[in-house]
Amino acid sequence: MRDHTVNPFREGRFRLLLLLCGAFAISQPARAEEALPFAPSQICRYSVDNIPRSIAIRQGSDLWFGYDLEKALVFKVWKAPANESGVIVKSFKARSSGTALFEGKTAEGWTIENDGKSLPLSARYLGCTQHKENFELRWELSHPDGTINLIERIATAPAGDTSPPVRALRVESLPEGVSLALPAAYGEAWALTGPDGEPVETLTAAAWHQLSLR
Amino acid sequence: MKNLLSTFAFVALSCLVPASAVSEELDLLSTDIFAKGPNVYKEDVLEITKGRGATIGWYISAKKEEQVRVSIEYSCAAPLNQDYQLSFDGIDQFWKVVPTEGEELKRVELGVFPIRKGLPVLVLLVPPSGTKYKHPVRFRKLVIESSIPGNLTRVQAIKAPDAPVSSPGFGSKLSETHPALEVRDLRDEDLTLRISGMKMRSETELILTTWDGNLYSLDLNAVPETGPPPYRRIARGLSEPMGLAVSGDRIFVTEKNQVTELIDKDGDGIFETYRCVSNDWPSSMDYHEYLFGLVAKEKHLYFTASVGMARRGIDNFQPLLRGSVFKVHMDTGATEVVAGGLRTPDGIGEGADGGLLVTDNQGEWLPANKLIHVEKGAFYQFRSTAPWHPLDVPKATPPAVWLPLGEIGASPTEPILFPSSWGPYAGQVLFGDETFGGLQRAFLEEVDGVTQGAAFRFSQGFRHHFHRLAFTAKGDLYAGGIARGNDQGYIDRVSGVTRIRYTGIEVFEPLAARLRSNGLEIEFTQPLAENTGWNPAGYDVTQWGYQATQTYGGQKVRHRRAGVSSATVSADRRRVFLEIEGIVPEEVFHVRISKLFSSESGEPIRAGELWYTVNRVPTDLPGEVKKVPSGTFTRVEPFFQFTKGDPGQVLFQTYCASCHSLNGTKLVGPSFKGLAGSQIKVKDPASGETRSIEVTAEYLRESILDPNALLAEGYPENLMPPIGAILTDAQLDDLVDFIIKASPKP
Repeated sequence: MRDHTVNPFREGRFRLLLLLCGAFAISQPARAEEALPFAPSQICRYSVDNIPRSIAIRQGSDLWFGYDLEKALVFKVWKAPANESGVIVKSFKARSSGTALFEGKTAEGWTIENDGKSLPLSARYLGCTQHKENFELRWELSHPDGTINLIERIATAPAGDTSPPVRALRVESLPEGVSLALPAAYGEAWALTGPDGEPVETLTAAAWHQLSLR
Repeated sequence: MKNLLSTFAFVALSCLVPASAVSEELDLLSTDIFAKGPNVYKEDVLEITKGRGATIGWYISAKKEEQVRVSIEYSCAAPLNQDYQLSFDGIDQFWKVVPTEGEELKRVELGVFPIRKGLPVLVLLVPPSGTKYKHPVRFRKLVIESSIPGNLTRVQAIKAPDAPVSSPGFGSKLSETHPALEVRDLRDEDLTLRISGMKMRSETELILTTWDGNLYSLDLNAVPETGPPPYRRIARGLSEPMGLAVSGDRIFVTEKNQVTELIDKDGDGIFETYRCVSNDWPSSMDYHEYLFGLVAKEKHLYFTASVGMARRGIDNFQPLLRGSVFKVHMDTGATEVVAGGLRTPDGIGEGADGGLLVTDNQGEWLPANKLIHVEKGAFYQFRSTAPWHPLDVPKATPPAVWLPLGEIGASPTEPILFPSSWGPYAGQVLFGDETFGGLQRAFLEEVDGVTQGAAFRFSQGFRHHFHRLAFTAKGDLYAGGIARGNDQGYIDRVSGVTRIRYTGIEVFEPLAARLRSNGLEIEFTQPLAENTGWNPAGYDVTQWGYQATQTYGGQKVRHRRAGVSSATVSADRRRVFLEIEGIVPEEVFHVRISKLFSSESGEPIRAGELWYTVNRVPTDLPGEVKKVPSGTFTRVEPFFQFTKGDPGQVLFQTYCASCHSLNGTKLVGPSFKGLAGSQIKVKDPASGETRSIEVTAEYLRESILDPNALLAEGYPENLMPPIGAILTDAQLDDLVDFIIKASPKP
């Protein structure tokens, strides 16, 4: 595919600025373009790895998180090859490229735990927001007695050069005494910590939790 | 849903005829079919290994209405991956071919169907498309069992009437821009805009989406007199957006598999949130699954979902609810299915009555393009294997207007109403075409509560192939072009934005057509010249029905010349009533008006052609038939020229010319200039190998019958439709002969 971005040299305002300000003007259209969220080089909203409703989000320069939006779960975390993109787009479809750090292949989904009972949840994707510091995904998780909201954030920049991939999660509208549990297979790969950094088994209340790849 | 799906099996109709009623049989022999395609006969048994290219059909007629039972004599060594289609006078059912033991032919019942009296009806057996079987289905005949002795007879194939010699606007596509249009190409040569959505955000701001996922804004007040307009990208990263809607200050987009609201919460002009309004339907990875168009009406959004194509040749699978018109609440996302059975419904708009209009592209299950007036709960005929669509029924709802392939369209796009500032066209439907190009218009009327009407040629002569349309409050039309395929030069050329202004210049042409109980009334934009229009010989009128097939396209049924017994000009000479015998519901009238007609002011007629779709015939609404004024029939020059001509040229114009030029111009497919006898590079998709071949009649024939067998270098699979499926062997020969003659090697 061609890059169909606006050519700043054809924009009238650019030509005017060029006359007035010389090289300074070069940064004006570029900054306007940079200000737009959802840059395909950072957020890939095409179907990824044959999952029709999916999204891939880049953290830092080369770490990618792939989400199955119908399950509200990360299906893959991977590191792009050196100096290459972690997603290869062809014919409006994308595939991940690089070294897999995590691959979730489970039919299980989110469950709520109540009085020792576990209830499966169905997920409805609500959308995404690109903030300056992070990228946010939202879902509604439904069970026979109601719905809860799940919010997940990926920081734009990694916590540190050697830090494991980390995601932040928060659950809203969770009834008292009820908690939200990841699929068992995910629990083995990801360490869940509560708002104070303490290890926890499930998500509770409306506080931010963290999931770190073990 | 289960109840509705079970009706799809069509078994219920079997109960309508008492088992003891059979008294006579009519044999429909395999040796009497229209075309065998690549299949072979062994004596009187046809061995079918491939559906594409074969037309296994017969016409029969009945003296009295009754229910008839249809059986087949066949054998089949092993199961097939897909079902056969049996269509009886347009009523469809699938036949799951059960393997038989040995080669001995077995007779099985396929179903019971109603037959009407008088009119020849088509019986069609359609093998699966896109698959070649190692083991044939061997069949000798269909048997029609009647309970009325002597009621049924087989009718010899009906030959299509000869067409008068054509010229642009009279039997062939227009070549010029409509005289009342002032056109400005708003392109930026450095920016390819494949327009996928287009709406006015305010009186002066046009916003548009592009296939590659961007949203642009154009300040119409800032468009310079010359040079590229200041397109400003305001959002990106959308996934194949094919529809755009504005509701108040809210913006919605239909993406590949969800409806999205673009939200700028802090009002800084940046859409930081892409809210998923709804994705409440299954989705697969099929490239052809799009969500097309977007109409915002009150608190709801309406759009269409196309079907997938990738698995049609494998197991005919479609995800549930593909091919629907959907209705989604803007706030809650609550999703409803409004209608089903669509194929590639690449345009949706609001009609004059507040209802929805949808255009659909010909292909599998669509024998021609359609302009549909959406009826709630209707099913529009694209079928797949169960579980498929809860609205699927054997008898489909016809479109408001058929748009015959190659005649008035190839890939119709967004329908929109002409505003009041567009003179006589105000209130009519305007639509573009991604392949045929230009703009077409339609006049709609309601007969017995059913919408139907006529399509008219309007304008060609634009650089862009229009996909999306938007009118400003002042009446300027902004039209956005798009192209598919891999040829970047072609994509660059026909994609982009055009501004079109209506100048008000009066042009003499047919404006509208209204059905009466006894004929068709044609309204003109200007009064006819005195003594013009009274002679029925001045109108070449043909009529036909359509037969949908699970292979690509379909044939015209009972294509015949209509009996025009009189022509009556109204007192103001703006209308002519054609008295026509034999008006048949669910048929199309094609009217060619003689080029010799002129207006009161002496202006020659432009685009003297229309296609009227009859869904209902009005009762007690006769057109007025008057005696011809004396001295009217003084003309000695014939109204139409009929020459033997070259039938291949007509076929080329109908089926090929939208995508292949003869003069070197790049269109969707390669030009045929200098093609015959030349060496071209082709790729064999099966082996991946590329090699040079000489273009021979044999190669052309194979390419028409099976376009994916050898691909011209640089062109992808599935770009060319398998139009050979709807041509007879003789037509195929004519077409190949014409291409060879018209494209000699330099």
